[in-house]
Amino acid sequence: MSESVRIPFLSKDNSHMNLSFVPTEDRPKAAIEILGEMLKYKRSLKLYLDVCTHCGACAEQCHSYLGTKDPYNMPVARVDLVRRVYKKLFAPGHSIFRAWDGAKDIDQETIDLWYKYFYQCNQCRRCAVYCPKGIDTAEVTIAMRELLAHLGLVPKFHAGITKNMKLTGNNMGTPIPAILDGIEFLEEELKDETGLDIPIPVDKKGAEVLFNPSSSDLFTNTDGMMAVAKIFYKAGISWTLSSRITETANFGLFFHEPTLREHNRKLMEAGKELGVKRIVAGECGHGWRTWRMFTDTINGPLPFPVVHLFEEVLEYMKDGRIKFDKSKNPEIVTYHDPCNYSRGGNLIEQPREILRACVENFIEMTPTAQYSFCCGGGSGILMDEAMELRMALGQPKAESVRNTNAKILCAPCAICKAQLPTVMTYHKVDVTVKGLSDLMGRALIL
Amino acid sequence: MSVLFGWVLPYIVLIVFLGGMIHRMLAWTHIPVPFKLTVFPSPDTTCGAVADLAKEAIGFRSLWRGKKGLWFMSWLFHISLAFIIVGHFFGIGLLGQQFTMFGISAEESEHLSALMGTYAGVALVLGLLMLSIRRISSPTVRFISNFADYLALILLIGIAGSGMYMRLFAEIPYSVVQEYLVGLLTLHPIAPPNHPAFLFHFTMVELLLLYFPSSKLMHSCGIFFSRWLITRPHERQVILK
Repeated sequence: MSESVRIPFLSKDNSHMNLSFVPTEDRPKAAIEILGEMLKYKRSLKLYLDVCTHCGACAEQCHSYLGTKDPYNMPVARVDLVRRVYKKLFAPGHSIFRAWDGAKDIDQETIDLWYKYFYQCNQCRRCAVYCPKGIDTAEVTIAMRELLAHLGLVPKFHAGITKNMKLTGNNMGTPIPAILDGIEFLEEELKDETGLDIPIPVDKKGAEVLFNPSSSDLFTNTDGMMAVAKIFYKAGISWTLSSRITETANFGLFFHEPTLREHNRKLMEAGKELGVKRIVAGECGHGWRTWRMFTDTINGPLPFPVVHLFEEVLEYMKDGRIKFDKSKNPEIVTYHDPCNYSRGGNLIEQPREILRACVENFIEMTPTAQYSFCCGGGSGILMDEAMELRMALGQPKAESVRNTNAKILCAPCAICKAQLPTVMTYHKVDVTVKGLSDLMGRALIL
Repeated sequence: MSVLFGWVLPYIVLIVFLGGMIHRMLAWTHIPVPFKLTVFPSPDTTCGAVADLAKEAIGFRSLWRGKKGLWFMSWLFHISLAFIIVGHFFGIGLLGQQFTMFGISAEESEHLSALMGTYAGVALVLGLLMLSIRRISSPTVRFISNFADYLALILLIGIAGSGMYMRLFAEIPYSVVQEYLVGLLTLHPIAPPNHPAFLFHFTMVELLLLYFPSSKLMHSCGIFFSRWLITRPHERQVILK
């Protein structure tokens, strides 16, 4: 193994995901088996390994490459790490042709490189927008991380989060009594702030809406949670949280499909149990993508819709149930598109419409909407151990924000909210990061 | 030599080319797509998605979004290649008389056919040379290039170069080529035109087509499959209100 390739932050216990460790010397053989299986049920993977022409259009569009300048972080080179094994073992055609295509045997170092570079991809899918063949590198990253997980190679951070989710129903690992305590505290805060009895109900049967927040909203971004409570209160909607699951973020999407399925099923069951009319998803990018795009496949046609908080709020605005007072947010605000809202989940116009209604000075950054750069924390690259990498990945976004001269950066996604403040401080961009709920809460006329 | 390259090889090439291409496309269709992978904003209807695909295939919209230089080289090369392939069918098939249907004389039609062929050929060679220079001169592109990437360019430059040589310096009458090709297609092969430039041109095309199904050139078919994954209309099962 070369010096430059090290496997950092490896989890030592993956038993909660039913994953065991494959001994180092058996890994290449096991990897080949798993890759072969995946090629049989993921058309995207096989197509993407087949149709790339190495044109390099993706290179300059990947924030990971722009930020780190590591040539293996070009999407095409990243996928080539797998493609060369695919060419050697699975691709059609004569072995000479495949050798010309860069076919290479798999060895321990290949697997180390996979681990290193597929955990430097944020699964932001910006390359898919610029690739003439529409190759979505995130698909390959997801598949390869899954393969690595089956070899027992999972970052400590990801393993910890899925364990928390399994034990407590949220990523922070907060036990239910603590959540209830926290909610009580938030209700008191709301009373102090507004003088009104604004409830944050939990497990209320027969409520119209089951709100599924990001667990960080309950403890670190509490303004967002309180804003949501105020909005529902003002709109006169009966709503509830579920103590079973207080987490929209679904880390299974990043590296482990069974976890993705289980998490999704948990929310569906919670919704059915409480007999709600619809589920409203809170501020979380990739969580929204899983609810919006994957639920139908995993849990079949649902008895109730899953909508996003922004869609719900827009409905209230159109019905005239709630109104905003722009003057409460006089600062210059710019909007960061979470990758899984814009490219991943078709939430592009909705948040902008709300923003225009509740802030006075809204300006777009460049690039924006589906062309927007990732914050650099996507796909769970949020571990403190990887701080240096995270700051490099966030660099292109920092430049976009700097050029707007905005004072508030609206980033309605739990991962972005965790990543962007450190990135902005590191790159010396003077801006405060807030969720869209926070801004709505400030501007809401009660 | 000319028996092998002129009589036997064409049939092998045709079988390998068509069979290989179909085989690979069938292989793609046989694998399931478990999740919806739409990249937004995307069209809402199938018609919209097909239109999207067409824009992409004809105008190279995704490349246009990025670096315009790469878009220009790539588009110039592909569009002139498409023109030339169509031109070969009509020019050789109708002996350059294809434009008489627009009411011009046979002579003018032949002249126009030659003129358009020349322009398209120049564009093709220019596009190829620019793409080659880009691949060789840029360190990042060199980093991601394999031998196969250079090989495709070499074959295409050989084909385009010999074609232009015949066009400008050693013209072969369409009728001679037509006779030979008709012979091949009707399974009564006759000797290929004994003309070094033509033999070189024809052999290079045969080599390219032999290599085609095993190479990255399959992107010409694959692009429709891979783009469909991210552009197909996404019916949301649950609609608000």
